[in-house]
Amino acid sequence: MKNCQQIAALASAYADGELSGVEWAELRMHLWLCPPCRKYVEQIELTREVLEKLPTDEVPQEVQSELLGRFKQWVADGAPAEDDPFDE
Amino acid sequence: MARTDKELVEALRAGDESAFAAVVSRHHDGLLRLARRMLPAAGVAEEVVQETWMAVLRGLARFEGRSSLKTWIYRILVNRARTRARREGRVLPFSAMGQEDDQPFEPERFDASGHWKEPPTDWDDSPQGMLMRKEVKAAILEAIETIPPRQAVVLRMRDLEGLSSEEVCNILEISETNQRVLLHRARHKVRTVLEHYLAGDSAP
Repeated sequence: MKNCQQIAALASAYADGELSGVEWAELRMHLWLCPPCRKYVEQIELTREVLEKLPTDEVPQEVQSELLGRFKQWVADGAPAEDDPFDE
Repeated sequence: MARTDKELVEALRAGDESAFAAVVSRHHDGLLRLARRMLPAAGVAEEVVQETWMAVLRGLARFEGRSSLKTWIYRILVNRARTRARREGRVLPFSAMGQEDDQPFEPERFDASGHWKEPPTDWDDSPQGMLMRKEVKAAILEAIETIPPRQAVVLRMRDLEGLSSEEVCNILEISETNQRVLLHRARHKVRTVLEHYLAGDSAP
């Protein structure tokens, strides 16, 4: 049987649906019996939701213009391609 | 309406500046913040993100839509960052995985038998409400800047960018278990920040 500390360590995997059947069932049972762990899992879910909604900053104007300049250059050069973009 | 990946890629290939501006404004900030955690030396992350954008353009002809455009761009960024670190005789934080991952989870919150010493307290706000509060938003961002880099990189890719666990493991070349531990430790720390602001009486 897992204790609260071991259950809490699996809270994200549980919330993301990434646990195996046996672990999932054990967590489920523990949460049913243990209000503090239940609250912890709920708060991890809320935290994930806040992070998903966290707005990004706007791109500074000078960076936008610089990148757009490079894009125009790339177009003007006839949109050159490279075999493998993942490597240099 | 937002354009699909396919439409965006076609527009980029056709030289559509508004499509490029849209892709940059959607991803540049996230790419840069991620790159800064992998390459902390001043100015290096900025250079690598610039290189990434050029690699994206030059690689567009080979984009097949097997992953989302976003995942594909992040894969290019991480590979560029890896190449850059190698060139400077360093490695990205991910090659040194594993030391902290075996330790017990948050020992100060639990007693010796693993029961809660300080159980979680009720929160008095919704996610939307939390993000409306400037100081909460700033504290979350600061937490993501200050947690260990490996945790921050996984958290950004999973929760802020919405990449799947499989994609993140694949791009970072880490195991599922490692990824899970890093993600949870990161979320736990952000949760602790939220707790500080939301647990009723504890005004900061």
